[in-house]
Amino acid sequence: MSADDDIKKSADLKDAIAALADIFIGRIPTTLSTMESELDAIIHNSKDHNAWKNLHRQLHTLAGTAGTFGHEELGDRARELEDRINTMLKTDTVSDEPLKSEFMHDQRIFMVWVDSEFVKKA
Amino acid sequence: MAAALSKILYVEDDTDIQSVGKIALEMVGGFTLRNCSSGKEALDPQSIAFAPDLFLLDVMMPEMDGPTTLAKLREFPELTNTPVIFMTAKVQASEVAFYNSLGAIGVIAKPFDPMQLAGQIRQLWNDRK
Repeated sequence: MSADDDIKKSADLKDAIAALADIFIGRIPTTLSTMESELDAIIHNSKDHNAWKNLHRQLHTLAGTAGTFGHEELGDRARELEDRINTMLKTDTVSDEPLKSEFMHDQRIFMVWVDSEFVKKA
Repeated sequence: MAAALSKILYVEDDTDIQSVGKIALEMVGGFTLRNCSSGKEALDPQSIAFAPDLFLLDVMMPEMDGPTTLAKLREFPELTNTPVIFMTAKVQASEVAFYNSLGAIGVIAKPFDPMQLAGQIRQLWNDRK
């Protein structure tokens, strides 16, 4: 295979990934809306482990996908929140009021940031 | 000399990541892929008949995680010795040691670089014992 072929392949791959990244960004409002629903469920009942797990899943997916598309800060911030839920579930502290409040506060700050960086700017 | 790597059974539940992995491995690596979105799909007859040279498994998936999927794939006699690479965000030494204890020839950290993925896999394949 020639160097020209390699360059062409690389360019094609970058174009394809850029197109997928646009689709990913376009789905962020839906992701935020889903997260909001899970937060509402948690506010209603902090022992709703399904809501915690669903929110964890959303953050996990967002973290992995964002990083793959080169949005490192988005990926890192989602990963940090994902890890906190993981710890709270493992230590059965999802109902611990100070911990839960702090998490909810940080989760909302994160969502506002995501909205301003990836939705309003798009 | 290591046998050539051609067919990869790729199991990843996130559709965006799966799409990136697919184009990276097919376009750059020239591999033939069978993509599955769950462990259950990896165990269907068509996936088994695909007779992959390599399993590429996401670790954290709902319902059936990567290690569980591997254990079930190993129940098929023709897949007992198929090499496996795990993909995960959790790449601390203890976690990598666990995946190695399951027989993994390597672990690729997520998020991965699409431009490097095929090369990373080929390197792990060539370096396997």
